[in-house]
Amino acid sequence: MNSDDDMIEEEDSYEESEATMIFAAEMKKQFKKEFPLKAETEKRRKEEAFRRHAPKEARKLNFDITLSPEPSELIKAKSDKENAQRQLNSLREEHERLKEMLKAKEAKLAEKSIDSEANRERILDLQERCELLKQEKDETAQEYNQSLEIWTQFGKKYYTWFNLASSQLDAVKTYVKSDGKFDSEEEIHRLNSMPRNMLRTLENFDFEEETVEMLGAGSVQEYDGVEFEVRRRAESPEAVVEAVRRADVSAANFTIPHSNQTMLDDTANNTLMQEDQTMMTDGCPANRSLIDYEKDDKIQRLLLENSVLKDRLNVSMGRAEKSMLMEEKNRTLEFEKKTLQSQLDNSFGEIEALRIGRARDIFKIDEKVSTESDNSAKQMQLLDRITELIKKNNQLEKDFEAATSRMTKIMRESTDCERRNERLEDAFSNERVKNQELERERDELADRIAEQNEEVERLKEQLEDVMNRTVKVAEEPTFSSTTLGAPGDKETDAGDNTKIFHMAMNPFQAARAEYQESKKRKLTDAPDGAAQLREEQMAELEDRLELVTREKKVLEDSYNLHKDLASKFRQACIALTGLQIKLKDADEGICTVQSEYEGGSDNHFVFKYFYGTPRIDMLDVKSDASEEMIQKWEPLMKK
Amino acid sequence: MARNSIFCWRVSRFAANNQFFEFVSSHFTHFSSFFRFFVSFSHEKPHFLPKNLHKFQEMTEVKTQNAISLKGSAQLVKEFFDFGLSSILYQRGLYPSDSFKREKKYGLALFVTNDKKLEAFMKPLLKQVEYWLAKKQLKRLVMVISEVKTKAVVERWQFDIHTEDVDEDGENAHRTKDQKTIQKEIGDVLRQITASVSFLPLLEEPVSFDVLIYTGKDTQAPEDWTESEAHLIQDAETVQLRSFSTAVHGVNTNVQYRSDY
Repeated sequence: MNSDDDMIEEEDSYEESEATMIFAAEMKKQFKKEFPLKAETEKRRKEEAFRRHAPKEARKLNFDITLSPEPSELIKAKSDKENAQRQLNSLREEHERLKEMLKAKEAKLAEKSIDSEANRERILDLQERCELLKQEKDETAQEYNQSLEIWTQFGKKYYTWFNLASSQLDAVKTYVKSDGKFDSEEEIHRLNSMPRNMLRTLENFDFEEETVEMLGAGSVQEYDGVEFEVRRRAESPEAVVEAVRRADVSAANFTIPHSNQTMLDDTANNTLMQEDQTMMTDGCPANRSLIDYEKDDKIQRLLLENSVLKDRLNVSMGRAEKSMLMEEKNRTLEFEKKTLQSQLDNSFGEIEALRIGRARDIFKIDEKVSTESDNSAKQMQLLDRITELIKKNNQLEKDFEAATSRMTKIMRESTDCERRNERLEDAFSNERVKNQELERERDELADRIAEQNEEVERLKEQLEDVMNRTVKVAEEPTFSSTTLGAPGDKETDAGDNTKIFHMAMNPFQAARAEYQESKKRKLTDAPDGAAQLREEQMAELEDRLELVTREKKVLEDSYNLHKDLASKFRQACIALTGLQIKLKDADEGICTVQSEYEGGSDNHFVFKYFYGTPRIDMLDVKSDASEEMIQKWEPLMKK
Repeated sequence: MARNSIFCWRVSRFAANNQFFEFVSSHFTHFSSFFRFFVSFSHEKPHFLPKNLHKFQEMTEVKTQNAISLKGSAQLVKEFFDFGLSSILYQRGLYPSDSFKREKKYGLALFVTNDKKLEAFMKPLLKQVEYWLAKKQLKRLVMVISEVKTKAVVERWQFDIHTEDVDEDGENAHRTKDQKTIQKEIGDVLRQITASVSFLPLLEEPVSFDVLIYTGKDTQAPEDWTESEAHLIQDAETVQLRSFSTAVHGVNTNVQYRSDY
């Protein structure tokens, strides 16, 4: 096989997917739509024309329209059907997915049930352990009680033995005092009464022999060289009675020992060590020391045992508490398990309900169409239903998309608004601060303006006065200069011919400097932003005020200079021309011209000068002498 | 002793001539001052003086007591300013009372400053004032009392000076006025200054003062002097006080104060 064949085979084996096919069809359709063939457009036009006129033509020609080539509605229906099929597939897939989810949930439920079972088993185990611990505790308590009882009994025994020993010792003392003479029967009786009583007391105790043996032997046998032989008591009460009786007899038959037999005699035939000896023999010092030692040892042993038992008891109590806690835990776990179970049941129920609902939705058509037997009709209805659902779904999706887009838009807008709001708030706060500052500045400026206005008013007044005086001076050149600078002139305070001096370093300056310094010191000591600012502003204002006053002074000086210059210029003009020119109305440019050589007369010409132009109009001639002059100049006058 | 006696004798011999009168009148304004000078040398009682000297005393005292020159007047006015400004400072409480010492002048017990700083300011000021008075350049002296904090002018003690057309020397160098009268007039003015406390407002804020001198336009100021503004009070209340004249200088006093203070 050559390579071309392989290629062909591969091509044959290649199958397009459904999506590719749909896409290809769509593309083809769009391409055709965008770039239609000439023949096709003509054909379509013809078809359209045919369709438009078909019913009429059909009626005319009795022509069946169905015989025409495959109509577009059918093609559309087919494509719709395909779409519906695809949607059905997707729905099926969704159904499968839901089923899988259900299965997963069931598996989870099973796991949870297994867990709960394990928990239950654990609880049972714990309960068993608790029971065991309880039993153990009871046993230890019992043992403890038993040992306590034994210990009390032995204590009593010891007490009796101690009494016996002490009485015997007393008896021995009396015996020693009386030089081995023991005559009095009473004394003998008294001596023997104690052991007797002791024996009787001991008879009252009802111990188990084994216990006694064990306790007795255990405490003594540990020591080297000590053997403890258990001597069992008579088991029957008769034996006991017999023993008592024997004791009485022995007491009655008590004989005083030989005088040469000392208590410390350690011979083999010593009667003191014999078993059936009188009670007196047991109370000798040598034997007693041994007994005491044994007893002490036993007591210690018993005490030790007692402490051990106490410890055990405490341990068992702790265990019991633990078991109680475990029980409590167990109870809580059971409760949790129950709740979980209930939740699980609920979720199951929900799932079931969903499943049922879904199934109903899906198989609604089946119910409806169950009456109908035709499968195609059923299929059609199913398809209709599916298309309807798809439409709804699409609509809902669109709505959802629109809603989400609207929501995102609104969200974006709201965030923008918030941001804008924040910015505006910041700007507003800044503006407010600025506004406050500006208001403050405005107030200050208003005050200053008012002050300045007052100053200006005052200056204006002064200026007016000065102007008036200037005019007067201009009008009256012969006016004496001394009158101007008169000291009584209060308006100007210091006239033109006066200077005001003061010492540069005067007390006020010094006080002021000191005040400024103290202010600065205060500022540095307690820096307060607002106060500092205010102080600075005040200082600045003061500086400005000083500047203004300086400027004002400069202005005044310049004004005076100008005035002087003007007056000098005027004088020079008069001297040169012999004419005195007065500017009567500066705005209108009206001037009067009078000859300096006509001293005393009021003859003068009135002219109007037009500023910026060479035009000069003569308006009037005033002459107190004759009408001739007026007549002479009248033609030249402009009225 | 013998030496003094010889001196007295010589003086008496000298006094017998007309030259003596010329000498005395040119060097001593008042005969009393010459007399004190003479006695300080003699250490003797006045009756040891020659007889014609007493006669001379009677004759010259009348002549010299009434004549006043520009310089003398300037000195008198300067003295008045010294006591007057001190009195104002004391009465208005610008300085503590313990910085003043009591001094008897013009028949009054007046207070003169004892403060070193103030003296350091006042001495050159008055010296310059005397100079300007003697040069006929002083027109007005103003004591301005201002608030230290606000610089607002609170009071303005104004002394307007009118100088007569008197020459520094020559025939037109003297004017005649009784010294006692001058002193009485000055005393009256100072008494009024003292009494002005009753109508002037209480100075509650810390205040200080400055002295302004109004002079002629051509006046040249010393180095430590500068030009100043008038420090006027807007809508001020003015109280005119008495005036006095030395026949050369006439001093007219008034006080302006803030009506709203």
